Amino acid sequence: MKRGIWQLHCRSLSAACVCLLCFTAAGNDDERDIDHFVAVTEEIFAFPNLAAVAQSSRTVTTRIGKWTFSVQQEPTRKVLLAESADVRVSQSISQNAVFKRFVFDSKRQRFEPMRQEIRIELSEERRALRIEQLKGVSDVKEFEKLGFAIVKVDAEVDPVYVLRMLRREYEGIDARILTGLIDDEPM
Amino acid sequence: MNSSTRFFWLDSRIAQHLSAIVLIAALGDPLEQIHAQEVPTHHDDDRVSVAFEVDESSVLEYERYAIDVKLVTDQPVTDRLVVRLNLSGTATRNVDYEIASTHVTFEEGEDVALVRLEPLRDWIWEGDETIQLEIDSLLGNGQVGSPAEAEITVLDDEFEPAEGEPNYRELRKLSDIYTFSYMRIEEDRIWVAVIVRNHGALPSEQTRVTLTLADDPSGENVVHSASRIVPELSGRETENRSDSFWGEWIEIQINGLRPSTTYYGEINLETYDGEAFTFNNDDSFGFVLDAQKHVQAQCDHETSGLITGTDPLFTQQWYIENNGQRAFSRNRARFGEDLHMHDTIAEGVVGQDVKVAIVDTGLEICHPDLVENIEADESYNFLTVASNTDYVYGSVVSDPFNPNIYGDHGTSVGGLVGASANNGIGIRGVAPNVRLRGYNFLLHGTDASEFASLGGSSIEPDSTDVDIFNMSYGSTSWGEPDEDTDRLFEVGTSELRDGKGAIYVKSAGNGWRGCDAIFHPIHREIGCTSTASDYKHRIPYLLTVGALDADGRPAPYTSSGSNIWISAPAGWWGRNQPALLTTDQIGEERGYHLYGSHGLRPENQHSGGDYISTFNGTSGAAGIVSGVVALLLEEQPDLTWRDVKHVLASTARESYVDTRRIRVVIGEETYTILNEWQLNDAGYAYHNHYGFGAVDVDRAMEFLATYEPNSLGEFRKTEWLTTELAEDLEIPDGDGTGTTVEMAVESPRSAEMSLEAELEAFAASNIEMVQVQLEFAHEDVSHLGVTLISPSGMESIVNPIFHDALPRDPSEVKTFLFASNAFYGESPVGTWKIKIVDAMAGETGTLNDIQLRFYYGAHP
Repeated sequence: MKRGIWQLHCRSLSAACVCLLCFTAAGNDDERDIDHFVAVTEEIFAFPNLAAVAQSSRTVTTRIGKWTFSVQQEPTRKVLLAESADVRVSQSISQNAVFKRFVFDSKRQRFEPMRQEIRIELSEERRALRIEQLKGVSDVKEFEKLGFAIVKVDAEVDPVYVLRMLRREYEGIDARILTGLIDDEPM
Repeated sequence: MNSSTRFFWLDSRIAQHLSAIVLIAALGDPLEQIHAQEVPTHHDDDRVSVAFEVDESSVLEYERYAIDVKLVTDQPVTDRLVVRLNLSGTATRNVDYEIASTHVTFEEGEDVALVRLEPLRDWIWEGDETIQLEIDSLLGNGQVGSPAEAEITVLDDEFEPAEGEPNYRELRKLSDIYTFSYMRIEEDRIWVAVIVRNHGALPSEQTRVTLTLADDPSGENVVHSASRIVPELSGRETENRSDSFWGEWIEIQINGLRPSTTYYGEINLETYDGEAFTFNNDDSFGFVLDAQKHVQAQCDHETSGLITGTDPLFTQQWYIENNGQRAFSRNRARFGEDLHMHDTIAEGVVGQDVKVAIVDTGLEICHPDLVENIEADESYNFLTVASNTDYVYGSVVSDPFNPNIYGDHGTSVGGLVGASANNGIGIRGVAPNVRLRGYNFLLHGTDASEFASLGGSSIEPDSTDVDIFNMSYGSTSWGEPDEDTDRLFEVGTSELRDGKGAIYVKSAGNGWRGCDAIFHPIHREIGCTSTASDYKHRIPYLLTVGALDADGRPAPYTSSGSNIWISAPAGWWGRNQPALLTTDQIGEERGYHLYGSHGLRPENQHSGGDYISTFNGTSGAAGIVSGVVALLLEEQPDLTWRDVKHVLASTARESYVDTRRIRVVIGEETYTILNEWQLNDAGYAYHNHYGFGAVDVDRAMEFLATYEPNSLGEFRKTEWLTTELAEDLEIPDGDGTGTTVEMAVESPRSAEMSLEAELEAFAASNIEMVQVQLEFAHEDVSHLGVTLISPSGMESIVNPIFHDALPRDPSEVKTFLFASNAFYGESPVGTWKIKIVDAMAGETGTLNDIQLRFYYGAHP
């Protein structure tokens, strides 16, 4: 498949725009970590999963709509930044961080950890079964009666990578990465 | 004769209606009306003398609901006597205090009458004020005695501003950090995920978290330790936000540990001045290493044969039969405050073969008091997959064993539901012959595992054959509506149990004291976080359970709100007041008893470390109700999920019927922040602290004897019904008057014309839940209280003021979904009112949109 389809630059973040926004080096099909900013939905943006620690400081930046996103690699941590004219939101990630991959929710103006799960609307029967064969997919749980499936992504694989594969393999697929901490706890 | 003392023979017609006249005293002076009657007077020598007898001369504005001022006569009255009072003083009636009437009645034979004064809280530091009461005149055969006056001081115990600060009304805001952990267990090492979050409004300070591991329960012999700096974490209301949570993996090599040893871990988060709470600044973890230095990951207890005999700890199970026992705490339970299931037990109803899934942290399937009721190979362990971050080496799919030694929540809930009865050990569950299985979703918090645990999955695990899902978990953070959750429960209630629907029993939440971000004394009356926080409580498919203590009052942690369906016993913490006696992890080295030194101890010959007396929470209450539902399903297997809710609502008993309405003054207007028990138009009593009341099992069983299953008509919902607002409505700032919008409801459709027959059916239908969706543009939504009022006048506070859980994110327009059970059985047709009040001056905003949706049926 034709990488170009997934490298569309979306100037307006309309609902119809479900493309991936590629910024820096074009995504390599085989890489497990995504090194560019990605629009997961029109309001949620995934940040590149650069190594948490770099030998020397390095900054990667892009601008999407009113937001400027950047990742600063420092000797002891990585800092994600989302800035607009009146808001500055940051999230730092250390080498041993429990949560290493984040998205920025522009509506709520906060970073949310990415879960290793991708939700797919089951518009065609059995479609999800073949998804198990994709790299980085550890399991696909179909909830046929509920009309969706949840793809479990290997812990070491960036879900954005799998999302991109899914969109490549199944044109028009309704898929999104699940984000945020599950707050349920014993009562 | 005292000129103010006048005597009349009462006209008999007037006498009959005197009490009614007193009740409407505010509308007119009954004495004036009575003057118009030509009535004879008594002779002076028959007269009783009326005077004040003041036991308490002051009342705290916040701490006391009310004070009763006593009027006494020197002898019992021989005929009705009415005393009219004059009020004066620096306190103003209906602003600083309320008094039901200025007319006080002595009925024949009485020599004491009470005047109830209720201070109104206004959140203004105004100093102490006085209420002067004076006997003005008498109606009947009496004369004014001495003292004829009384003075009550209203002591202002509201916020006192610090020196130099202006008088203020405000919400206090702080930061609140807490920590929790989970383990990833590999063959040769353990990774402990240590997570710190700030749920407060303000940023936290940089602090330190320390992990220690010891090989003795006292924690003195430390074998491993690590410490990390936790950076400043931004709060909920920080505009420019840095991290709001922090988490790092800390590694423990098993190489350096000893075999056949139990290890006890502690995580301690240092506090700092100004943090709201410190009780969640610690967490515990621990594990048992076997002879091969592998972490115990499976249940391995052998139960030796079947035993019969009474359950020795049953005598302390006050929640099943309360005869005033202590249940290993210092104080006794209140006699009779239990499930009222004496007859049901006597009749041998035991939940026979009803399938209950404990969706929780785990389940010890080899526990001696559970093992007989465990469904072989039906439990599911989500931690067996190595690629999961919370993998447990050595775990097996069919055994949802919890390797953490500091108590297994699911095992304790499971015992409440279905511990075996008459097996000579421990306790009995509420339904001691159910079939139990465990899904450890809470140790593997993913959407997929939750859906798979709740009937959404037919393989790995197959949860589609479950009758009752016990969900003793939840969130006190605000949950947004979620279509997948709707789908799950719609399918679960329409397709499982051969179309009768599975029953989802859910804990209402322990949010009463959950003031993480905002603090106000009013929280003492209505709680911090309401039941509305969890989205699952705002859809009709679940049965949401609140907790009662051993006196039948709301437990001190239970969330209040219009989403509770029913309440059940759960108790306090088992130190001073009884908590629940239930199963604990097997053995002396594991279990909740490691946390304290009170309650039932492992040394007790009937415990052996397998039981605790300190379990509580709405979790416990939910487990108990799951047991109750199992009893109902044994008795009548054809009950649908709606039938079960209907039966419980119809047979619940009002607990503490004297609970009072609480009103406060906001601006110049009084505003109700908590209603008393109210009877709705369909005859169901409802209270936000209790739902429809306390579960009464025997009454429910009796009700079933004549109840026809599946008789509630088709379950339907309306479209979202809306009303056109001419413009965005300003919500008066800091004013109890608020904004009230009326909305006429006559059809289940929003736009299309309905047929006449459909309209008639809709008018005759019965509400099962009402949802209200509101759109605000407001600078601080935590100021807003929302009350829904039905055409019958039934009121339901669907969102309390100063609700801690409401998200205060920076988005300009916020849409909130609320719901209420209080209108159950009423007709949806008529004019509804939605009242929004901004309880705190300062931040302002508008109400931009309103929508209502009704779930309804056609009840017999």
